[in-house]
Amino acid sequence: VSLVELGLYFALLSLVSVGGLPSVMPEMQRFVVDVKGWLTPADFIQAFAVGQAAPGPNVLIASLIGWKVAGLPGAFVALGSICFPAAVIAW
Amino acid sequence: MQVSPPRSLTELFLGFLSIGARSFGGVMPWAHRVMVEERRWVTPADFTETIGLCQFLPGPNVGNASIVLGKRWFGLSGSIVAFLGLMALPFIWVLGLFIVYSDLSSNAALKAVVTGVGAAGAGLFIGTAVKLGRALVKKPAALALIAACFALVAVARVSLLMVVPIGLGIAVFAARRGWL
Repeated sequence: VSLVELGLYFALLSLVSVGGLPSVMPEMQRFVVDVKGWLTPADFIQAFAVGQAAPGPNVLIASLIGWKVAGLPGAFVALGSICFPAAVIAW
Repeated sequence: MQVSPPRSLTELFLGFLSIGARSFGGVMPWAHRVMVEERRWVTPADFTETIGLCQFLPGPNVGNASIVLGKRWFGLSGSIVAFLGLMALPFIWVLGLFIVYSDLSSNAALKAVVTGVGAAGAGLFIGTAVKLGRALVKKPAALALIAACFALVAVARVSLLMVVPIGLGIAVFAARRGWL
């Protein structure tokens, strides 16, 4: 259930992420930490830091959150759902 | 400057793969280096324009750029190939790093590194906010809108899904009245 929830929520975030991922970072934190309790605040900072330190677009923080929530499928769903709606608009 | 767009999907994939693989500390400089300087797929002006468009659209900026450029050269399959090329290696790096980090989370030095990088990232965000805000200081309506958004999101913790559409509505209204 949480996988579907995660996917739908990230897809929504994708649509309001004008200006890039940083603009939805607070909302992501609020949802996965405060509302859902999938991650602890420390987990979130860790995911954020790893996402920044590693090479690659910082959207990858989404896949780390997905990983924490539901393992590898979670990582794919999270990354896919945060990129896809925006990609459709760009296309 | 003579530009030569990628001739095949393989070339497109490898180009974006090499952007993703090296993109420590942000993708944009590397995207510029590969697409403008090394492979000469696009002119500098074209690159700047494309990125500008992608920043205006929702979603990850470079991800959108891969979609837009992939489409321009090879249509739908180009978009998919460019996007996968860009994401493939960083996706593996990041998960790998995370797995290693989870295993070694008792390691004090590693913990310090992650905390430091987190702090640096947070500082960068604040810096960006200040830079963007500076252009708006002389407009009281914009400052009021910034303060209201900050209070709602950071203090009252209202969902961004509410704040963004309402804020946009107010901004459009204010702009029509000539307040912005």
